[in-house]
Amino acid sequence: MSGSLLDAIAVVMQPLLLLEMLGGVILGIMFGIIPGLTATLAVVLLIPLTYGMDAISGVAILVGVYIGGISGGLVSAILLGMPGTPSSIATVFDGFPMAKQGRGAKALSMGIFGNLFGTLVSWLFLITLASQLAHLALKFGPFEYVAVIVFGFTTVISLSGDSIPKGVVSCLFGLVVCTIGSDPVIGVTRNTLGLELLESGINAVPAMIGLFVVAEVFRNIASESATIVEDDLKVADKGGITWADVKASGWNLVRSSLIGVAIGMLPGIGGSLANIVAYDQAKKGAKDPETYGTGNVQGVIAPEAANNATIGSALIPMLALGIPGDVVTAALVGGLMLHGLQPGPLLFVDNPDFVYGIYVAFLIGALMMFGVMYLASNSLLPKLLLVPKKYLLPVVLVACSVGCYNLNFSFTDMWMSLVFGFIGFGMATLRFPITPVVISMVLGTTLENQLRLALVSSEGSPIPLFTQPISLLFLVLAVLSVALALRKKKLLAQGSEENG
Amino acid sequence: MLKKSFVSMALVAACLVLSACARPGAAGFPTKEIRIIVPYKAGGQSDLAARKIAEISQKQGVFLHPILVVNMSGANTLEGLRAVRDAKPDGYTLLLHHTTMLTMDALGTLNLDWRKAFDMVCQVMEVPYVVSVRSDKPWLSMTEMAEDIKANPGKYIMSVQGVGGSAHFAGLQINQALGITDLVKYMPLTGGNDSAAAMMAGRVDFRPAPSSDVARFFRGGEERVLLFLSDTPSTVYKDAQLANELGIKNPIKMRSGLFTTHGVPADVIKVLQVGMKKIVNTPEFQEFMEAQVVDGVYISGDEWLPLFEADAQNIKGIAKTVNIKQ
Amino acid sequence: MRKWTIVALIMLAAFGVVCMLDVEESSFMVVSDDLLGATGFPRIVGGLLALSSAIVLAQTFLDLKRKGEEPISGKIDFRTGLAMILAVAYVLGVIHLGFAISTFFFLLFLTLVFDNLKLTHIKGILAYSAGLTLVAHYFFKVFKVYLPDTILF
Repeated sequence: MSGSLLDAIAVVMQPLLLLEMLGGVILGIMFGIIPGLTATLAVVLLIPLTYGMDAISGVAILVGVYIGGISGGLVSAILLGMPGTPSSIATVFDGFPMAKQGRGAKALSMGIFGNLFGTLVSWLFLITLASQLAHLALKFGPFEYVAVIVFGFTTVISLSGDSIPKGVVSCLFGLVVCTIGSDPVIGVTRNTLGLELLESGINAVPAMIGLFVVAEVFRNIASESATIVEDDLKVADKGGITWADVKASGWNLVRSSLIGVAIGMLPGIGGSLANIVAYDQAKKGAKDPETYGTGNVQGVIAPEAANNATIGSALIPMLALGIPGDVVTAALVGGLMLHGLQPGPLLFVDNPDFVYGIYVAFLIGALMMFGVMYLASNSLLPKLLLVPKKYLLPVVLVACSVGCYNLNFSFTDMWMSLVFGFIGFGMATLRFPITPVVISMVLGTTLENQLRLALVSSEGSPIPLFTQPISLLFLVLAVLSVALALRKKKLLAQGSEENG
Repeated sequence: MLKKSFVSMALVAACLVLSACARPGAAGFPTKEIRIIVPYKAGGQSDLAARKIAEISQKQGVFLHPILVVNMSGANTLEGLRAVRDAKPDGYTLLLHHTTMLTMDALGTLNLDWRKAFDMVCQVMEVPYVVSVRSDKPWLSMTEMAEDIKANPGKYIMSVQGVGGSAHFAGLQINQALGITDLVKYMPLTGGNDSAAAMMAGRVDFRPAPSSDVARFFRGGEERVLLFLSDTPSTVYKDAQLANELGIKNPIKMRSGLFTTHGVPADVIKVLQVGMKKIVNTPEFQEFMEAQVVDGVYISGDEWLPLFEADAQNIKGIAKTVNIKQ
Repeated sequence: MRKWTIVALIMLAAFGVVCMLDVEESSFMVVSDDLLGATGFPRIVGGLLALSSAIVLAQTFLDLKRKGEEPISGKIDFRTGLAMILAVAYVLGVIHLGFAISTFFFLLFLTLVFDNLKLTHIKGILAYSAGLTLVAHYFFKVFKVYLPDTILF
């Protein structure tokens, strides 16, 4: 066994491959930084270019690209207030306020550290517990999924800002939007309002890009300053990671990474939810939740650790069972099969050197990502704050259109990023919370699918939801989550009454 | 002397004319990249076949320009189909699709007339269906399982990996022949991976699926194949029963191949056919197909059309007997 | 703002109701026990949306009566509207006219909008628009992105 590991290390640590991986990581980071271009897009676009290579090189580069892509999202989330990828939506909540207070470099450094931590945690799970976790994931049937999704929806309550009723309306709007297009179970077309454009339904990613990026672009147009963040507040602090910072964030890092690992492993939930759930849990578990949203660095660390932690765990069902969970892992499975490899338990037996090669490449990719981003964060990246918005924002709009089109070569997706840009603009102007829409769009179709499947499997009875252990667990967590959120709101209100 | 130079000039001219004829197609087709549109997401079976074709073409220089694979899975394949239907009929836009187009047509969900919208270039592969169960199940043959199902109506669950898809129809055809259509429950799932996961977790008992979906689980020992939906035995699924053993007539097989926009000039199609025939018959393509327990069978467009039509009638027949309204 | 909120909520409620009704009846089903069916979920969430919109509508109306109007969040002026129109024109242009040409003009005009339509920096803006269009064009070529045929390029 150790022979294979050494072989794998030798295969991966070749100068040419390392250089290609570095290039891949940097490319991925760039895709992550530019709002509108996603990490998934980077991987999908690069796949044909890896055909000529052998399997391990191809996969190593793609993994590096993906790690870079997911990690890069925090840059524009913090510096521009626009998430670079949908997995960094929650990073905006505290990251952008930090940039506006001149603490952007700190936010970047800590966020990048969170990236590394999350990636390494999921890497550890991948190399040690892949098989066991994969079989655990199999136990998640329709009822378990419904319970997990209900738990996911509880984040809507605390992320609704000041108005829970408006948050509920936003959430339901997202759910109704999910019903447009094809029914997930039978494939019947519904709610297309007579438009052929809507037959393909509305995909969550273009909608998210529209709501958080395009809308933000429109909101920035009329603002007075020539750059996105005001002149005199730009770079007041120096970045850097101190031991004190790490200690203070310890529990947050671990919890957020675990959330990311769990969500990344369940196909169909959507890794882009991990950052929102992690942020929500960080806020709920904090001693000072009222500071979240005003520039609390923990609010940057939580989503970034979580979103990176989904990367390694998404590989778990793919490698251990041969069952991919999302677009990226499905493409990787395809790539492996093109090279004559069969993902699944046999892979560990027939090609252990390949599996070890992935493990090594993953680790190297993570370290490269950290190195590149950390080096860039002190000098290069804060320069983004200096670019005048008249040059920056049009580029962002073009990138959003291009990025959304390239997801599936669909003009519907391109239109949707614009339409949801208008919707997001309207919502923000009228003070409707936007995050609940995203949560319900990520979860809605899966919820309907799993709910109907659950009822089919139990012949119409909802009882297994409460009797099966895993689903009961998540329902209890959901109830606790809601209770905690409401209690905190009550305490805050009481506190301000007493003080005020 | 003059005669000699005249003869040599005539020979040269003849060679030039011949080589121009040999360089095939309208104006030296292809002069740029050819695109194969796959109406499914990346990593799926159609996608892999298209990419293998592209890879072989590039490695062996079959077509002078690269072949590019474009995934357009929107609107349940319809976006990809429409894109090819509306493309310029110059032969540079191809569609890789299969029998599912016929099942959608039978169910009225296709929304376009494939006979008018596309010209058939060629078939590239034939994917037989199988019925597999988890290997810890007691049944060693389809007949055994059918008996168990008849003895315990409503107990066992069949996976439908794509309602209205060709695997669904294969399952219906089998159930009908065995007389168990109303004796099993149906679990509607999305795609081969979903179905494999459900089977591993024990949420479904058996699944009709394309052989390529099942191959790697069969080899890994996780699934046992009870039925090979064909009249000729499989070299891989040695213990599986065959269609004729169970009285299944005209067993459905997935035929997958290339279509192009209607109106592409015949000589351009000829060039495509020559190239694709070469690719399909390479040992590399054949090996790749075998690894998935699928057959790489080239059939040119005009021979393929009647077979495809026959399949369409077969499928319509199945649809009728299950009371499918249009 | 409250008046606009009320308008928005009315539209949302209407949307919810429409989505309850606009479902094609399924043509077949060999799947038993699918209690919700294709119509169940849209009806439930559509109904809930309409209901919750109505409730918030009532609340907002009462707030309007009691507390009067509230200012909107953020600044909007005619430039925002222009940008939105340009964005729509851009997408239409990419689909029908051609990617490169639409991108060039979009970048050009939108940057001018930011400059309040003054031509002081026109040289820089032209360079920027042309440069970025070339980058995007090159990006499409390198990654061999598929673009359907359009009138121009």
